[in-house]
Amino acid sequence: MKKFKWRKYNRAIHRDLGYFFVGMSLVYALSGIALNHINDWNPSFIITNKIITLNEVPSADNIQNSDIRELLEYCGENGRFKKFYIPSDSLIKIFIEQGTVTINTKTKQATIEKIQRRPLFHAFNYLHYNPGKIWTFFSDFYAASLIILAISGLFILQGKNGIKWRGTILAGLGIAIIIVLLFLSHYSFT
Amino acid sequence: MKMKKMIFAVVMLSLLIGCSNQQKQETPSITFELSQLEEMAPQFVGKEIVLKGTIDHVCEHGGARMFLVGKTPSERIRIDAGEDMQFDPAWEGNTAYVTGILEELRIDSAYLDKWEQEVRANKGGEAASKVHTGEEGHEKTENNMENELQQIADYRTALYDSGKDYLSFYSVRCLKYQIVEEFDSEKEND
Repeated sequence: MKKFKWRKYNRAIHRDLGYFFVGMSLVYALSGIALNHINDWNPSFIITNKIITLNEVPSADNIQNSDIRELLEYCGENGRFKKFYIPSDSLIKIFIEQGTVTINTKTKQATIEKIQRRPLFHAFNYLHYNPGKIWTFFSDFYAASLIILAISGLFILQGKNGIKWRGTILAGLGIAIIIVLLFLSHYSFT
Repeated sequence: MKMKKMIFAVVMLSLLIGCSNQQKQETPSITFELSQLEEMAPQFVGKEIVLKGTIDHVCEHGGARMFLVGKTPSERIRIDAGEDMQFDPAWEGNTAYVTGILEELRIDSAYLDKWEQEVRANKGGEAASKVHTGEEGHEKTENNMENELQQIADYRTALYDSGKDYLSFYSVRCLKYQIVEEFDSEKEND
């Protein structure tokens, strides 16, 4: 009886899943790093702020559309706006294309905030947040495949560089780090 | 033959574009203005409503929340994205017609005690009980313990001043939405 060559199939599965999911791995790896540092930067949008001091600011009480257009032109915007509203006595918030202009009527300062999508990362982060059922299905398939990739990877090589020696040490080290970090998290991470 | 196929493709594409444009221009019937919120909300908790408002802010991290405003600063409500939904910061200043379930969060002193405990235990992480208000510049001060403790202290004062046992915070769990982008037109508004 011919011996079942399971290592051959193991390698083939590992290889093909690796090829097939290289795109997904990059999406989740890059967005994962980006989202890990969400407190340090905005991974999806580039936000710029510019402050301009205005000479004259009309009172927020009876401000008209024509006043808003004049203010925007002074700020270097084209005067075209979506809407404006008065969030508080001393603030006028104007919504322009891809941003806002907030005018403090007391300090006469206008803060122009522009927002634009960060190339590549915006798309990757969008996908990371599961935008639809088909994506959820595909990413579940990817997650299940990662389990197969992880386990099949243990048995690719034979001998001392395989699971019998090097594999056990490195895999054990990786798992030990997880356990240690989990243990430490109970006493608070810094 | 090739020409016929091309004509057919162009006609189908035109129909498709025509249909999608038609969908965008269609305005749903409005049943609820933000100015009516405070008065009407208690009767509609747990029910499906249609709400119209200006998008003041969309949370840039993941687009899970947006805030609609009416004509005055007090007319403000949080909209939570439904399943497989992400809001886009580029919508700020646009008019939104949101269909969703009106939800009420009641905050009493026990809730505030729990929230405060979470903030102190998390040391900068987001507390589960945190009330998201989407105030100006909140992304820059998020997960700041001092700010969150100040927010809790403000709610304690508001609770005391209200003379009631709890403060009500209304929000809408979005089921579907329509976004209408309108720019100021000199002829129409002046």
